[in-house]
Amino acid sequence: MRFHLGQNLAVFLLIAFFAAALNFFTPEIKGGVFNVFGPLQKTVWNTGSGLSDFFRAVLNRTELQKQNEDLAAENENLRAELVRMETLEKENNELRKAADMEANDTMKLMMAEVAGRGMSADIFFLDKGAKDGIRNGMAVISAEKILYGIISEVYSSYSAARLLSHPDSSVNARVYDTDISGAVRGEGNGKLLLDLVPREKELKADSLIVTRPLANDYPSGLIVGHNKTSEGSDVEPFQQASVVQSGAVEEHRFLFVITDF
Amino acid sequence: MRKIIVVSAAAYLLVLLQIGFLPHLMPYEWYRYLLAFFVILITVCERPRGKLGFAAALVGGFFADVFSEGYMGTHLLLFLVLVFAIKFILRHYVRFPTARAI
Repeated sequence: MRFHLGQNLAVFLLIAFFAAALNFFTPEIKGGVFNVFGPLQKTVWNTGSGLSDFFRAVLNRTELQKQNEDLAAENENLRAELVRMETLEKENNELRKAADMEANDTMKLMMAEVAGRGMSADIFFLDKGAKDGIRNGMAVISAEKILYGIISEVYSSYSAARLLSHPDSSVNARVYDTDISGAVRGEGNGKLLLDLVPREKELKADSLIVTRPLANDYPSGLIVGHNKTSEGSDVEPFQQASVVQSGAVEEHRFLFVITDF
Repeated sequence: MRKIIVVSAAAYLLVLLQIGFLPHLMPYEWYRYLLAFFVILITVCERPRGKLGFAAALVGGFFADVFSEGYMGTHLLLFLVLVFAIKFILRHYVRFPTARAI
């Protein structure tokens, strides 16, 4: 039984040639596979979501009971708060506009179903593509206006989006209700970093980070997450802080692509 | 032929689990090499002249490429190199008593 190196090498080179040739037909191949397997993917995604909710509920039963009691008490407080809030709503709207926090209510959204995460950690797929008007660079948000990612690949009926934690992702952002601005960039594997914050600014932990685009590529005021304590040496011109994203794609069945704003 | 179809289907199902099911249940680090582990396992367990490892590498690699960024063929070629390397080492340097189990 001999290992025929020459023969195996020839087979390998042939396959390598075909693998390289696949790149000339990437949109057709990926689009075709998504079309065929997309419905199954979405079913598996939804099953996983349901199962994870079930396990979470079972594992946290005692905690849920306590949480339920706390929420009932909190509900009473909120009812009282609601009355007060209604009177403040008008004033609040004006303040939000002044602070440029208004996540543009005139933006056009397209609802898309999440069709799975990518094989690499920081991408995910949506079931809307070029024929639905999706283009590269569009922002993907949740109903709560949390920014999850930016569309990076578009096929006929599907698209892939890079999460903010993708190593090639970067969005300009600021700390809500302050003039502190910086850039939130991905570090891979779900990690985010708030960077380029001037050293002289006081960056408080657990502040809300929202988008503040320099160009007109996504709306301002979309929620990114909360920062932790700032890091870095005092001699460096900028300070950095880890950012905890406000949600996870796994929690959603549907997300929204901002097609215009 | 039946075994090749079963292994190919299993490779696709693993990709499906990896992109659709497991993200809900555990951190990415826990399952990122699941498909690679499967390809290695099949290659190690099959007969030295078997083709199941190649089938797993081709099908699993193809779907991994489809559901990844970057160039098509990257995973596919990596898995093939892995299978070639394992087979080469197993044939020349290693003998498992249970290698003929599958």
